[in-house]
Amino acid sequence: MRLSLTRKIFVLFLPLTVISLLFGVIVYYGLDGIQQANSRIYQFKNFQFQIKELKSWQMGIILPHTDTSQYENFKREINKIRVTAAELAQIHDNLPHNLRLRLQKIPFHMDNFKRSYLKLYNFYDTDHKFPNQNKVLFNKINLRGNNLLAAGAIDPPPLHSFHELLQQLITLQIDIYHNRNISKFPELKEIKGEIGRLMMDDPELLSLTGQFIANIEANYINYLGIKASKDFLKTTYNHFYQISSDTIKAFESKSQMTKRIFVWLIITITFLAILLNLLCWLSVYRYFRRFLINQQHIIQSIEKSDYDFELPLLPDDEIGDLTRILHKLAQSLKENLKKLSDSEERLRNILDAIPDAIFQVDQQMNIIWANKKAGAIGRVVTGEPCCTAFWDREKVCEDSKKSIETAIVHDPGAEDELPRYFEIITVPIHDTLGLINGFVEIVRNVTESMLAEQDKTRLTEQLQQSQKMESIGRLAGGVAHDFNNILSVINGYAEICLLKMEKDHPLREEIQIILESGKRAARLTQQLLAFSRKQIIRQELLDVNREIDNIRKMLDRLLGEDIEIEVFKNKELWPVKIDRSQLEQVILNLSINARDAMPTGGKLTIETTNVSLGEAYMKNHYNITPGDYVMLAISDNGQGMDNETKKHIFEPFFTTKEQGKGTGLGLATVYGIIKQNNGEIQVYSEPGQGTTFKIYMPRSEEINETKEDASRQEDKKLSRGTETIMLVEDDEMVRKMSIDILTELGYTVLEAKNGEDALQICDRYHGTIDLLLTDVVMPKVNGVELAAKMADLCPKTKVLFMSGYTENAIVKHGVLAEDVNFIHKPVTPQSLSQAVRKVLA
Amino acid sequence: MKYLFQTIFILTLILTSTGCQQSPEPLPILRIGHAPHDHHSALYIAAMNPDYFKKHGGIFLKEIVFRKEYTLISDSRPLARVIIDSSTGGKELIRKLSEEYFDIAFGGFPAMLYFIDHGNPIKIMTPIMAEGAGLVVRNDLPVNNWTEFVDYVRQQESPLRIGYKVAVSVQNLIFEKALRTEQIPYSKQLDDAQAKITVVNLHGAKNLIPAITNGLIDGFVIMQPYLALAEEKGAGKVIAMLSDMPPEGKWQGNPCCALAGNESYLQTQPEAAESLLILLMRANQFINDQPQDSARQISRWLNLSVTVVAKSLPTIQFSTDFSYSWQRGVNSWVESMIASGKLTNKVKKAHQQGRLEELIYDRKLHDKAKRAL
Repeated sequence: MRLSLTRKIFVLFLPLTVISLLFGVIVYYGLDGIQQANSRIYQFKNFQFQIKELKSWQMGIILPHTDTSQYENFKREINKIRVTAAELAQIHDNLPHNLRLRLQKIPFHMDNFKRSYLKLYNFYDTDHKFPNQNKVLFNKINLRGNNLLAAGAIDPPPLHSFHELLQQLITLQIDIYHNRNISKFPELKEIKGEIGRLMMDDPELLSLTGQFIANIEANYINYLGIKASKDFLKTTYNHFYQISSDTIKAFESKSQMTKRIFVWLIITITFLAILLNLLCWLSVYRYFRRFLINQQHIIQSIEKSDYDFELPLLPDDEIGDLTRILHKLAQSLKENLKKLSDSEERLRNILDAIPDAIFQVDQQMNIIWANKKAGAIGRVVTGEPCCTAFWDREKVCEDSKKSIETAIVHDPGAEDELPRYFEIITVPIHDTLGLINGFVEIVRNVTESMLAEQDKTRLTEQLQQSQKMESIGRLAGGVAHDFNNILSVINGYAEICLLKMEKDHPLREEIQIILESGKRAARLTQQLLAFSRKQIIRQELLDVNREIDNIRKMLDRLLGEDIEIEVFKNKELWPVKIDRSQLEQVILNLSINARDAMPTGGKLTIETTNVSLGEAYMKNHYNITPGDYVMLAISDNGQGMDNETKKHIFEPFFTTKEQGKGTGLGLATVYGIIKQNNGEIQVYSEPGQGTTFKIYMPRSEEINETKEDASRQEDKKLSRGTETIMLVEDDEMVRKMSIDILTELGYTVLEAKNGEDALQICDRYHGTIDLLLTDVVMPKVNGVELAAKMADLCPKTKVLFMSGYTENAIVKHGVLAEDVNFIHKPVTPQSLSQAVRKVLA
Repeated sequence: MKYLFQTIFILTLILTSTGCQQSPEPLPILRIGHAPHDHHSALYIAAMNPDYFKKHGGIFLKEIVFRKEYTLISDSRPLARVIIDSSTGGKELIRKLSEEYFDIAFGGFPAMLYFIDHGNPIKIMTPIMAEGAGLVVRNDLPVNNWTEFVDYVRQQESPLRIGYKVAVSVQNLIFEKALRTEQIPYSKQLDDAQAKITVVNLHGAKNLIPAITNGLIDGFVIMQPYLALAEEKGAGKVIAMLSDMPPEGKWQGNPCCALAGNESYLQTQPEAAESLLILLMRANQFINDQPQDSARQISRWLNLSVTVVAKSLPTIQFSTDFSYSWQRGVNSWVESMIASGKLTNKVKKAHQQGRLEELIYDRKLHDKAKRAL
């Protein structure tokens, strides 16, 4: 059964309370008993005093009764004692049985006592009257005797005179009366006889004498009564006195006993109380000592991290609960510590796994903890100042005491090591009062990010450059497109004029100049289109080494004797897919630039090799995808360039050459061609150190089946025909010129200014339309859509697209789709006749 | 610490046990009252023959102080401390008995009736003796028996004075009854001229012999050993025993002394009371069986001559039986005392209701003691 601490305390203090109560009750009853006994003693002593007093009153009744008030007083005193006796008879008070009975009978005996006293009073009354009575008789005897003597009746004269006899008689009476001498009675009778003989036996005298003696006898007997009564009274008095004395003694004994018991009880209870107190104290002491030892043991166990301690036998109360709670707390603490340990380990692992160095310093900036990485990064020694750990940070240490501080430090490293950059974040740790009591320092190796940042800056510059180039390209492309249309008209009509004019026509030379200028303008336009990657190209699988070989002679002639050409070729060079003419143009342009950079001669190095560009490379070159590339490097040992020059070299019309010696489109054309063919160009140059252009062309996975393109052999003649051609061109000038050329060549031309118009014409036209010659980019219905619809209306009609743009339905990034008949603007009578004829054939 | 608690514990035990120690239970006290005359000889014989009674019955009184203090032993087991005290006469003894001064007392039967009548819780345990009283007259009186005494009285002109010891005594009551039977006028007044006999209360037995010696009285009625003593001292002659007085035969075996006890004592100490009763019964028997030894021992107790006691003892009927004569005597006493107005209360009612024995005797105790003899 569970006995709570409250109940235990109650049980512990209950006996003490009971003993205290018992002590109080005993003291009360002890004192009350003693007081009661003393009261009784006083009562009985008073009774004794009254009895003694009665003896003095008794003296009053011995005396002659001259005053009756004394008798009354005496009776009153007896009655008073009787009342007292009646009260005493009611006393029980645990007196001995015998004594109690004796007390109860006191009133009864007091009645006898009273009666005896009254009897004694009567005895005394009789006794007091006796002398006078006998005096009267004596006088009578004397008178009678004298009378007899005087009458001479007495003869012969008495032996003793009458008066002598009387004298003896009175003497005897006095002796008997006062001395109570019974032995005198015979003498009385002798005297009576003498008197009789003397006085002639006078009857009267003898009678008087006899009465006199009888009175003496009666008085004596009365005296015996007095004596007996007095003895009785004395005995009774003694009895009363004895009873009261015995009672007093009994009460005194009882009082003494009570006192003795009282004292012993007090001593015993005091000792018991002391013992009980000590026992209680011992119990409490042992109880709480055991509790405290248990607590100490448990706390020590907890302190020693021993949480699996065994619980001792515990009381089933709040104290036991407390220990059990502590045990539960220990278990909980164990679990929590385990969790904490796990968490700490996890955090430590996390902290150790973190690539940053993390360490904690105190207020004096001494290291008190560090993660693993810290040791790897710096010289971290616990207890030493943090500034010694990471290079020249005294100031940083000082400054980082108040707030979060971030610093980048530079580790120059050893001679054979690369420099490193570290970001150090110092975070102050505040205590509960908000005061700084330490710091956490996070040291991060930011070398890569720093380098990346640098790369990013560079790439951003590249992007900006690229975007700039793109903008310029679009500008140039747009201009070139419009120029193409214009030049198509100029050059077309110029050629038509030359074809129509006689050879000796006076204007022929001027028309020829116009045509040449137009062609030169068309070449410029082509260069601009190349730069702006708007040139329509036809990629083919090429071996760069072979292409270099093909143009080697041209290069030798172009560079001159002062320039030595050195070619390093990788024989296992991967094929690339690129427009051949563009590749030639790139090599030529770069070689010419190299020549110009070496005005006094020098060395031109052409190198080819395979390279695989990885992610690292990509980071610094945002616009190239990782993969295999064929690298073509063209280097000179010329004057080189500064950075500012390098920033602008790919811009069109930027040139360091004298005015009129360069168009500023060479490198821009190279840049545009390489970009249009998904390649990359890098320039490395330092002033006075020469320049190297590295061109990366993506490796082609197609089989290299290099063949000589027969189409390169241009047919200078105009091809003629009679077929019907529907010409669709939204540019009126170009449409008119094209109609003129085709009409001139013998073809029947159906003119349409847009797609809808073309469809209507087609719908209305009953003849055969052999060829649809259409611009690609047109409003509403473009060329491709028109071709598709025409295929439904006239399935046999062939299609030839023409366009100046590189971004349209058939050209993606300037590259023609397969199996598409196309002629790019500006068209010339020759190119047009050949293209039409090729399609119709 | 451990020893401290042990010490305190032991000390406490000692102290408490000392405080609670019971002193040996004292023997109960048995106070016996008697009058110093041979009517109560059974007590003296019992006290003076411990070896005899130890041998005969196993109950005896072991003497501590002669005449005063004894131990009542039964079967070697002390039952009570016996305190013996004497008083002047029968009535005085019973008065003291009623006052609880005594627990058990010898005493005159009429006195016992008187106190029982007044409501005192006293029970008569057993008769002790009968008769043992008589009439002594002066030596010079010419009478030698009751008849001559009566004749003599009738012839005298002046009354004879016959003394007695107390107002209510067996002797004067029987004597007065005898005078009335003989139709001899008597009076208690000394100057009554009509009376032939003046009965004089001399307020004590000890006053009788001096009174007769000095001519104050002519004779007296008294119990033994005063009869024998008077003859021994030459103060008078015994002319009649009370049993000789009229009515004829009425006073033979008349109750004189009995043993009475307080009811409280009899109830609280029945074993001691019973043992004492048995012892006294055996002592009575002893007196009857061995009169000479008894006389010698009684004379020693009473400081009397052996001759006196030897003369006295044969005149006393020592008996503890509720005999016919005893019962008859009791009835006579009761009736005469009722008639004289001395019994007015309980005894009178009990007598009238026929339950006198129940009131005045402890017959159960008596019979038990008798059976144990």
